[in-house]
Amino acid sequence: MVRGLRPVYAALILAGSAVLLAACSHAKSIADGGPARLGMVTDVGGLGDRSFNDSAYRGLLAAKDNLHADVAVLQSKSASDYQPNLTVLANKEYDLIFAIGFLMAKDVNEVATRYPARHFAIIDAVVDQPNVASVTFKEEDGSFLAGAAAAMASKTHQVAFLGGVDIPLLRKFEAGFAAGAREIDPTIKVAVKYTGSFDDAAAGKELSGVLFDQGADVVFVAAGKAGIGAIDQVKTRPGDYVIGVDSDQDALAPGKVLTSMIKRVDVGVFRLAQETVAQKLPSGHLVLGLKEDGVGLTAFQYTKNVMTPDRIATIKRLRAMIIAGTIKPPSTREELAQFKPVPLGR
Amino acid sequence: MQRTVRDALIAVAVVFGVGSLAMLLAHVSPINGFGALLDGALGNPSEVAETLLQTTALLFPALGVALAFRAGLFNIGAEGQIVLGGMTAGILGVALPLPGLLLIPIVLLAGAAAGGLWGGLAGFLKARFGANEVIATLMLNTIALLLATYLIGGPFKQPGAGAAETPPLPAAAWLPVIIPNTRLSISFILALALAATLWYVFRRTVFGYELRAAGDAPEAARRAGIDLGRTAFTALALSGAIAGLGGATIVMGVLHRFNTGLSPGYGFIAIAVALVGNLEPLFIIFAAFGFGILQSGAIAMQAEANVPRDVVTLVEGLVIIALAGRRFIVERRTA
Amino acid sequence: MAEPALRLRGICKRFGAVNAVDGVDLDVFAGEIHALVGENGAGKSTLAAIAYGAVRPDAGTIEAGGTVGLVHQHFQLIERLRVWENILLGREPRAGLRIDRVRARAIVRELSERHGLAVDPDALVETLPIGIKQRIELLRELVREPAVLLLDEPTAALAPSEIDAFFLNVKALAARGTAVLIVTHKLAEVMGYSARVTVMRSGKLVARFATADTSADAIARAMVGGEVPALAARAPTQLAPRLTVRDLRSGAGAGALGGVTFDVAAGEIVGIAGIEGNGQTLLADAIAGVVPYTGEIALDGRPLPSGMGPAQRLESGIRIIPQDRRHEALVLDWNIVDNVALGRQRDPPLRSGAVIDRAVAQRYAADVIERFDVRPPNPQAIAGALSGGNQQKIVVGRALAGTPRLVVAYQPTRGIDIGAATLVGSRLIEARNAGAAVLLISFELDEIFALADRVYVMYAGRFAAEFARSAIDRGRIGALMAGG
Repeated sequence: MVRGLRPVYAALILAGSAVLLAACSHAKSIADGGPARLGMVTDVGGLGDRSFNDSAYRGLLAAKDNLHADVAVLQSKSASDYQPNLTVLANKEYDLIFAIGFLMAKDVNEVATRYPARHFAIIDAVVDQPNVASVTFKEEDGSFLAGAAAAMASKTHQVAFLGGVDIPLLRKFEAGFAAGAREIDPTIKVAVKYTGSFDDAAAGKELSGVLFDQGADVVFVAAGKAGIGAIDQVKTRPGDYVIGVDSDQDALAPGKVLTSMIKRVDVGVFRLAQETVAQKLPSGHLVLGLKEDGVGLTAFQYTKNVMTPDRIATIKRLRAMIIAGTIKPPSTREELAQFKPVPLGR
Repeated sequence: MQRTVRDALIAVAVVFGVGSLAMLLAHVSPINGFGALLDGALGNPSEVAETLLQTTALLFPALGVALAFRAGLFNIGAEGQIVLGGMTAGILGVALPLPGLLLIPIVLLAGAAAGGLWGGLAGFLKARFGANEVIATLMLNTIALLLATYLIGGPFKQPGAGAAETPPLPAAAWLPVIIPNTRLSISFILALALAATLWYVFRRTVFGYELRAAGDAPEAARRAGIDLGRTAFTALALSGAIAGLGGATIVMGVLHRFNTGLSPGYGFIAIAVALVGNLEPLFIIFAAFGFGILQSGAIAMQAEANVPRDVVTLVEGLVIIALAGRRFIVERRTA
Repeated sequence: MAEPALRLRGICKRFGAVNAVDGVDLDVFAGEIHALVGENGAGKSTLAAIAYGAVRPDAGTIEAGGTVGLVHQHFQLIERLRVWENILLGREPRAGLRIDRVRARAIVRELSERHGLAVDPDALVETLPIGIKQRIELLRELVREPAVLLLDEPTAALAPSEIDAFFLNVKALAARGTAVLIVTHKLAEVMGYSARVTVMRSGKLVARFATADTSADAIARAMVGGEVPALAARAPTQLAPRLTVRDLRSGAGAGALGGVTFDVAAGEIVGIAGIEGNGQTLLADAIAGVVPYTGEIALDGRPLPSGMGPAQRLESGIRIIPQDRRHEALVLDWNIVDNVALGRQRDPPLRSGAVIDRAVAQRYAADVIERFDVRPPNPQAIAGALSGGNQQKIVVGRALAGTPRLVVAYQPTRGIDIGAATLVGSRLIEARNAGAAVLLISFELDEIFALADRVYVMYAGRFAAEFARSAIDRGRIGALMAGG
């Protein structure tokens, strides 16, 4: 019976090899004078999360348009996709391979060990390997401004934070947000909840509803795709707002998204792309804060009715104070407990 | 034998025919698309290793599905059995303070036992209450995933992890790599050995004989003294154990931690693999390799030729429909 | 003579290496009942299929003076549909887009009255006895008013009275001008109802007789190609108690077993005569251990409780030749070796440790092939590809291998030809001579009379009477079978 089957697969493999010979010539890498080849692996949130992965993709597209780089994106459907995706890009000798998200930290570490000649970049986590560049953000800075805006807009003296998974990275958002709110309104109540995942829009919708029902009228949602569910929720609630995260989500529900705490993953991606094109293969740890335009708020385009010029001026003043070091937004719950509002001089 | 060749040809025709059509719709030349796919799967030794890794991940559940099929049972619960086998390995691999020589076999067996428990549960429902095993195994998939999500998100959660996953396994629980600088571990050898064992079991042993009789002619088997209920239970339990073992090897040899997303649908693709291999363990090796090429080449195809990986998912689904549908129709006709 | 209604010339058909039909000429005239006889695999069913147009011949011409209808050996009815729906399938009268049910029933009623084939148009086919189903098969062809009607083994499943009624109908059809070709192996029917007989052997036409000028023996010799083998001789045996059955009951409704009490001694064949559907199936299944029952069954004084499954019964020496060899006895996808092993897979020496000893399995298969003259004599041949007679030889051969203590044979020669039937009968007698108890359940009285030492007549789930071999009264038994 084996005789019957073997030719079939042999034929398949032969046909494939023929196709290979005809079609395949590896693209030249940058070292050989070709364009830079940039690969990117999304986490399970994937493209279209209108958040983190999309922001990274914008940076990649900017590199393609402005730096004439060849780009490829591989989306991960499950955690088991991370390593194969990274490995394929390494095998295909991409000049720099972006791993979008701390979920891939262990995988980047393993693949980088196996492919010491390739270069990788990881967003939101630190991987200590010579051929890995790590990019992190001062989320607490931007979240502080978001908390301040929330406190200004709140009529109930109650705001809330809805996070994805209760981990140190998300607590930076939580602590910064709560501190910023207290900076404006020292007695404000700040509720905190976590959805438990970054890709469950239904949970985001449900839990944001709970927070609104409990009296919060501004909810800061830092939960990846789950944030889309929260934006869905707020559309039906007059007088309530959400604050978006990562990408500019203001236009998803104009007038209902107070502002977005944008994390310019695209800025980080683009900066590393620039270094790659300049044949300075990046490594080390890049930290992006307010000063570097790595984090910040959007311009309240649809919410000027609440965010009066006065209030916006206050936000700008806070921003300057953080950059100047006058205010140090807390990045952990412990630091938050120690946080005292700083007097806002003129 | 004719049927084997015919099924394989149908599968190849579906893959290339429908695949080409989908690529043309995506404005990609099928030559470039399949070229990138095959190059990505077999282009260099490291890529072949990745392909064999996928082959291994498919081979375990495909052998499990085939075993149940030979007994006349449609186990579509391999996905859930992989998850539970993997979860058990992930939990025990971290919890048991044993040296590797002991730890690895114990954790592998525990993973198999967990999958076997899950398959056996469907078998018990069938043997005891006459429940349809298709529905039972399908429902148990969902329960397995929810159970794993709960346990890993709650009692066994790694503190500080961003995803629902266990802490990383200690190196003692890692399956040894057989090709340096790749992820290909001894699980590949284990899968091949299992295929050979199943071949022998089907061909030579009383157990395999009774299993095949129950599958090919249940009424004649019953009258020949074969306990159909017990056979169904044993077949589904073993089927689940093999899939669960596969899940454990993914955790111990590939991910080195348990994550509920450890399988991108291996348990379902395995149905196509088993059918293309005509339920013959040795052919299934080749079928798994063919699908392994698709699985691993699809990634490079997306990166290099800009063809969405979903094209591969699409053709895999169509192969299942083509072969399972055909088998179903043929069996209804001859029934 | 007039032009034939069906005219076949030089028909040839090969299947692989086998010449199924090899240059056969055949004419069937309007008003004639023509019998086509031959052993299993002689090519008669293939020839009928070619005449019908279902199989394309490799060579030869077919001319028919009108529509050709075919009634198959295996029923082709849709069990879940009603009688009228089956009969009119594909040619339902319509009222607009809908089926005109009123007219459909009227058509079926008229048809059934015209041909004297009484059926209830609204009955569900699955609820009907086999004799009625056969009528529906016939009516379905008669709707098309065929000039030629082909009947392939039409009485294989019918009781004696049903057979008589069936042939009265066929004769009436012929009298009205239909040309009828009956494919059969039952010589009594050939002699009783046909005008001419064509005999085939190994794909070739070997003889043609006017029925009035020949004898059943002559036809049988032509079929076999020599003398018909005689049944094995009955040796005197020492009777010893073996199977005792007391007030055995099983099932409910039609076909239920309503309390039977009897013994079968070692060294005798006990026949159960009756029309199908009078409890015989449950009697065999109860002894086989595949249905629950009340009452007592004991073998050699050891009781077999209702919950005891087939495995332990096989172990205690009970062998069953079941009713439906294709589903209940054989694995059609398997070869002869594996099929012969079925039921003994756990018994040494076939089982050696956890493994099946292939040499022993081969030997078992070779024994059956040799003792039962299985054709082809190839142990690797797939059971499903064998003719019905050769399949049955495997089932019987397997049951009689070794030294069975009790053999339950349910219609052991159903649908198989003279040579094979004689062989099976002889082997049953030999098993009896060797000291086995044999329970023979059959709807064919000739078979029972030829083989049984004692006969019970079964009607409505009970025994109506018992006859010793020396006191068999054919007329009385036939009447008792019908409930008289």
